[in-house]
Amino acid sequence: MALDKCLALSDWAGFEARRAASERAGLRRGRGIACFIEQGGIFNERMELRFDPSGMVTIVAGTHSHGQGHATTYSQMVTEWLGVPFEAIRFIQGDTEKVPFGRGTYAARSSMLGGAALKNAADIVIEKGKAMAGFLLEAKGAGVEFAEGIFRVANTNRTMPLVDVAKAFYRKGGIPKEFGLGLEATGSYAADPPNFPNGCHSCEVEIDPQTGSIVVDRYTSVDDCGRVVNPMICRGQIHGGVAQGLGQAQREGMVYDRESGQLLSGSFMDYAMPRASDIPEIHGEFHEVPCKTNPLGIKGIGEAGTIAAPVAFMNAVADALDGLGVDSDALQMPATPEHIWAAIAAARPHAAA
Amino acid sequence: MRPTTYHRPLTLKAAAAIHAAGDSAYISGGHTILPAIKQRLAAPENLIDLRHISELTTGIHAEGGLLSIGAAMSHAHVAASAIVRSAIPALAGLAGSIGDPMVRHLGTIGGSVANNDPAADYPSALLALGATVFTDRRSLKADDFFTGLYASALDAGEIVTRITFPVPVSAGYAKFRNPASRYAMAAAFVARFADGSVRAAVTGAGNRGVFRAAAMEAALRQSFSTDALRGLAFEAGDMMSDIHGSAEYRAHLAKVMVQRAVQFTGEARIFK
Amino acid sequence: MTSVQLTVNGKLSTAEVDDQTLLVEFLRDKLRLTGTHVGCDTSQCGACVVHVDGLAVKSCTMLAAQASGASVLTIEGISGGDELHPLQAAFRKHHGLQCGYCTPGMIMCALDMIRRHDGKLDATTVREELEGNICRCTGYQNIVAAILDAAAATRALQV
Repeated sequence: MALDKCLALSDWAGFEARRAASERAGLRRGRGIACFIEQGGIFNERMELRFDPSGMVTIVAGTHSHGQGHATTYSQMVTEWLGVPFEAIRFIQGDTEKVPFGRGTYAARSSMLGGAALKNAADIVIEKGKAMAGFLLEAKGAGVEFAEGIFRVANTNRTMPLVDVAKAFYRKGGIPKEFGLGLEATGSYAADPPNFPNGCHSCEVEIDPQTGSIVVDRYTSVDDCGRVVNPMICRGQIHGGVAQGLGQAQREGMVYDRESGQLLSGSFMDYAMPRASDIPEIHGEFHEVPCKTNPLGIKGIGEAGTIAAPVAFMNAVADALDGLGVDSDALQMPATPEHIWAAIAAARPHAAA
Repeated sequence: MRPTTYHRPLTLKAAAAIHAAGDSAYISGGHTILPAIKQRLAAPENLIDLRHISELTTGIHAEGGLLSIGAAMSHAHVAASAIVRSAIPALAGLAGSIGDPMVRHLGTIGGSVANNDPAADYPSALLALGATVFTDRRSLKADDFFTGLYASALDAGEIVTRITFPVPVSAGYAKFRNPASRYAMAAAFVARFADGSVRAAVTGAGNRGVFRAAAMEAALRQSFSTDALRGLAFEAGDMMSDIHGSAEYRAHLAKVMVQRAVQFTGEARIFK
Repeated sequence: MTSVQLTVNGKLSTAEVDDQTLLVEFLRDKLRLTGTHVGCDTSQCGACVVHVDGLAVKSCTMLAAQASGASVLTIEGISGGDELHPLQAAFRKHHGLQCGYCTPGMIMCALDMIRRHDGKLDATTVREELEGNICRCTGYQNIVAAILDAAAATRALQV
């Protein structure tokens, strides 16, 4: 299904016309697909929720965002689960004086492990809150329900928002002994099993056989990252991953002098980082198949681009060179202009002249 | 940054005097000398800022078949100049392809030419147009000016004041960017003049710096077409080699750039 | 030591500094304006971009002494107070930043780009104009979208 969506989105059917136009300009156009599956989420994780007397809540995260928008995504979750207004949520990460324990962010783990651990903590908050709500609303044995941020004594119209119940945990007196003073919860979750993000990306390139130059003309991504919590953040993760994957495939590399071991690509003068004009606009869609093995249905998103892009790119390069007698299995990454030109020149000298 | 003493003279005479008094380097846009100091390739005890010397900001003029550009003119100025765009559009395009917008706001033609980086763009234009470099002491023809890698005929302390370019019938510039630094890995400036002569200069590729492609010039004089270049080639032994391009690749790429400078005469074309 | 005098974000600053002090060092260490970043120190990445006398420049490749007497605009100076500059608002709206390290440089470059093109920009031109600004996180797409949005808003204001 992801493959079908990708073919449609990338205008797979229109390729021949584009290839002919490229040929008229002396260029070789090729296309490639990558159908991929990876493992997301590793180890276990710990997340805390701590309320304060004003009813604000602080997320204390064991993960560590370096641009992935955790403050936004986790706050979205807390607002949805607990009904605390978005603006009343604080977020702490990364400070070992303030965060007792955490494993950080890598390996596409935070949305599932951080999210599920946060859910665990939120569920504990709700349980504690039900008990306090039952006390405050004089439920006297009747059940207490929680929905949309509100506690309700079953079959009555006696309700109280969670934020107010939370404040009650900080009263100067009159709190039942068994509740303690203060409202907080620690949740955890383990990647047991992990999740399996997957999808289909396609790439079209144009190669100039005279120089070996490769232009990535078109890139399409269809990704199954399970439930998409924040579409904008998820799209951003795909963009960045694809750019990094294309960079790896086409231009980036650590080069060492064989005799001295000296790093020769030690600055951006020699390490070829992709610029904005090297990366095409990425057309993407999500194909949501909720993960069945974690409470949030989430799969990882952070690595997908890096996994699919080099494959889609190199397949496109091989396709573009098809017919020239180039051994595509012998192509290396990074597919620098010289590398591609040399491959063409070796197989079909006059094509590369 | 290595310690140095900064000077801001207001006249050429004052600048030359400071230079003569001790170990010094001139700084114009600074995008060559400052990176060199940071990488410990240079350590001048004095940095003499040329940007406040009025004799260097002579602007851009075209008169009697000659285009004159003051040494302190930034790449951005040259690229945007209506005079340059009209007289030698490939030169304006070349200037507009140097580095990036921020580099172009500070980098100057005088600085680029005086430094003669083997991967810089301007030297190929000066050589191909048969330009004249004016300094605070004399004038030098381009053919005599560029003497090797990072080397020029300038004497110690000599300051470039302006450069004049004969306006050709047409000129083209084709550059293939180094994937990392985005400098020229091979680039060619080809100019055709009213008397039928053709000059073609290559930068980025030669192992002795910018050079004229004599055999290709002769062929293009017979027929100004890419067909005329068939069968001609550069020697790998004359080319630079690094992790971005072997000598063989550069020899080939330089030829392709000469072809494209001919094919796209009248403009500058950048490839990567 | 040399005396430098710069007007930074509208405020005059005078200081005695080592001659070799880079403009970026002066801004960050002396004036504590740490929005301007040092990324590569080899003049490629653009994280250090500020405006000097109205032109976008790489402050890691300029001495504070060279800029003495000039007017400098940093990322801290582009909004009037509590309200975001339209470019900042556009970057926020379009998720044009992730780790944020390249962002001040991107915005200062974009401000200059929009001015030079009179707000008339297309995606291809924006991508070419960003030649001197490197980003690892975003893949550039949302940065381009943000700049185009802000450019359009600028044109609309001029009408």
